[in-house]
Amino acid sequence: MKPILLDGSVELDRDLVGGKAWAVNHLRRLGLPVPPAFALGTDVCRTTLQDGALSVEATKALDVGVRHLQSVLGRSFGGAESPLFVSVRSGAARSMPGMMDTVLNVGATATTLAALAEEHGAEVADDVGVRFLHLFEKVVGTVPPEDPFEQLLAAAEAVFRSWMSPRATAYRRHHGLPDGGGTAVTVQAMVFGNFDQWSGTGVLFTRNPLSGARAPLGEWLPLAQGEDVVSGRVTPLPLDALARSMPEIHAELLEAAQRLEADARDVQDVEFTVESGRLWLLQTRSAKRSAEAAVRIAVSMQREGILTTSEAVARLTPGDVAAMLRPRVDPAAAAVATVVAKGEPACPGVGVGLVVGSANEAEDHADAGEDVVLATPTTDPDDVHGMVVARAIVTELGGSTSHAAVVSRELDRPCVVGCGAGFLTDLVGREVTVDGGAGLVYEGRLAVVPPASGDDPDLSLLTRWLGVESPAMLPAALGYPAD
Amino acid sequence: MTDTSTELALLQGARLKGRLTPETAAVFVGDEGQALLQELEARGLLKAGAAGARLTSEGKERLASLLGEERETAGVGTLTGLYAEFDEPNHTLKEVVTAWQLRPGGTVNDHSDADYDREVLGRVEAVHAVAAPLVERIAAEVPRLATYSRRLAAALARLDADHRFLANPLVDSYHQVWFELHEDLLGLLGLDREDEAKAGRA
Repeated sequence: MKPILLDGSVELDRDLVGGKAWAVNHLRRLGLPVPPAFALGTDVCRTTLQDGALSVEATKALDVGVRHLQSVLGRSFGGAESPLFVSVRSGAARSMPGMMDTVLNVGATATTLAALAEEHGAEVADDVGVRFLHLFEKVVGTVPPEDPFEQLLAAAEAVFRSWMSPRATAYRRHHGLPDGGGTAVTVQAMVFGNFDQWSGTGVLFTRNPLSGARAPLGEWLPLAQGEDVVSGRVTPLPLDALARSMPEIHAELLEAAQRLEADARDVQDVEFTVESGRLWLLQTRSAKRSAEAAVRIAVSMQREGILTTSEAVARLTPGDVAAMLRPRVDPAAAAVATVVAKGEPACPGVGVGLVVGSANEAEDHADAGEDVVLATPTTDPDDVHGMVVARAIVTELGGSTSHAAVVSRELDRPCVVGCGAGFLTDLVGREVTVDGGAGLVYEGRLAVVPPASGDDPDLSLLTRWLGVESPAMLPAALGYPAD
Repeated sequence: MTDTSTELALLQGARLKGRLTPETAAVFVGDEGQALLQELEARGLLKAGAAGARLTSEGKERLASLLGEERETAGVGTLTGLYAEFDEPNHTLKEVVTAWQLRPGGTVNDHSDADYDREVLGRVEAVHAVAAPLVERIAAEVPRLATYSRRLAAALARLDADHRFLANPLVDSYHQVWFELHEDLLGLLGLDREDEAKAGRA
C-alpha cells in the first residue's frame, strides 16, 4: 500500500480519498499553494475497523507519507531542528461537518517543542504543546506517547474509528447515508501564522459579501494562528495592512483568490496563513452573502460571462430581490452592531426607535414626536392603537400567524415575533433598530439604506430576463417561474 | 339611562378597540352610539381624546364588575367545550390570513395573481361556514356576543369589494372581529393570553 500523495499530479476519486483530501489535491491542480499532504483512503478505514487496528501496510504507508512531507518542506518529523508538525483529519466522500475527529500539531514532543521554542520563541512552543495535548487526549483518549510516529499511528487510528462514533452514526442515519463508506485520513503539514513578523493569518472574500461589489474584502491578523480569529484574542486589520507589510504576498493572494473564484464560478471565502513570508491557502468555500450581494453578484457574473442567464437567475431567491426593494439596514453597520433580540420574521422592513412596553406609552411618546418600537409579550386587540403609531413591533411569544404578525403586516410595520419569554423586558428605554425581514433587533440607531430605485441597472436587467414590467414584480416572478 | 347590557357592550368595546369613536361605538350598540358615548364620558367612565375615547380607571373597574356579573350567569362548562371547538377554525383562519399576506416562501403577496387571491378568499368562506354556527351557539350562552355573528357576516359580505375587510385592524375586518371574539372568550373563561400564546392558540 502506498500513501495517496495530494500533490495535484492526478485527479483523484472523491469516494476513495474523501472530500477534504480531494479539495487539497484539487487546489494543487490549480497551481495554488496548499500545505503538502497525503491521505490513506476510505478502503483503509474499512480494513482498520474490521481488524481493530491499523495494518502493517497502513503503518508503512504513513511512514512513506511523512518522509514525503519532510522532503518537500525540508523539515524533520520529531527532529531537533526545523521540526515538522502535522494535522490528522477525517474526510468522507459525503461531507459530515463536525461529526468526526481531527488531531492537530501531531509530532509535538519535548525535543520538537524545545526546537520550536529556540527558533520561534517559548510562547509559540507552549501554544502548540498545549493545543496538541488537549486535542490528542480528547480524541485518542490517552496521554500522547513521546515518540512522534507512535502519536501519528494513534491519531490516524482514532480518526478512522471516529467514523463509527455515536454522533457520526446518528448523523448518517438522520441523513440516510450508508455506514459502509468509511472516512479517509488526511495527514497535512501544519503551517504557523505566529512564527515571526512575516507571519499571520486571515480570511478573504473574493467579492464584497455585503454590497456585492467586485472588490475583494478581507481581514488580516499579523502574528496569529487561525484559532485566534474565532477566540477574539486579536483584533483583525483590513487586508490593506497586508498589502503594506508584504505587498508580494498580498498580490499572490489576490491572484489565487481570482483563480479560486473562476474555478468555483462563485464568490469564495478563503482562509489563508502566511508563515515566515510564505503564503498557504487552508480552505475555500462559497461565501455567505447579503440579499443585495446575492443579486449584484449573480447579475455581475452573468455580465462577466461566468454564468449563463438561467444560472444567474437560479442563484436568486424571491426574498433576495424583495429585500432590495425595501429600505434596509446598512450591511456595514449591521456587521458590527450588537444583536439584542432574535425572533421569527413576521413583517419585513426596518424600524428604528425607543423601546416602550405598552401601547399607551407608545401613543404618549409618539404624540410627543418620538419614534417608538413597541415590545410586548403578545399583542391584544386594544394594542392596535399603539401598533399604529410604532415604527416597529417586537413580541416575546407567538409565531408568524399570531395576532401581532397578522396586524403588523396589515399596518405594514416591521415586526419580529417569538423572541422568547422575558427577552424584551431589558430593552425598554433603549434605542433599537428592528430588521423585520431578518428577525433581528439591533442595539442603537443603525443607518438605513433606501430601497433600490426603479432604474437600478441590475434590477432592470433582471426584469428583462424574467419578462416582467417592473422590479416590484420580480419576487413573484422568481418564486413562480413560468412553466 | 342605558341598561347595563348596553353599557357593558360599550365599555368592553372601548377595551377591545383601545379607542372608541362614534363610528366604532355604533358597531357595538347601533345608532345611539354617539349619545351613549357622551353619557359614559359624563359619568367619568370614558375620557375623550384625539383618537377617540378611552377607558378611565373608573371605567375599567365598572367593566370588570359588569363582566364578573356576566360570567356568573354564563354557562362556563358549556363555554369551555365551545372554546375547544373554536380552536380549529381559529387556527385555520390565522393560516388563511397569513396566506393572504405572504406567498409560500415568505414574500409579501403583491396581489398580482388574481387566481391565488381568489383561492385564499374562498378559504375564508370555508372557515365562516364552520364558524358561523359555532358563534351562534356561543351567543346562546352569552347574549352580548350575538353581535359577533352579525359583524363577521358583515365583514365577509364586504370582503370582495374591499379587501381591507379581511384583516385590517383599523376597520371591522373579519380577522379583527374574530380576534375580539377570541379575547372575549379568554376573558369569560378566565384564561391568560400569554399562556394561550405559549400553547400556540393566540
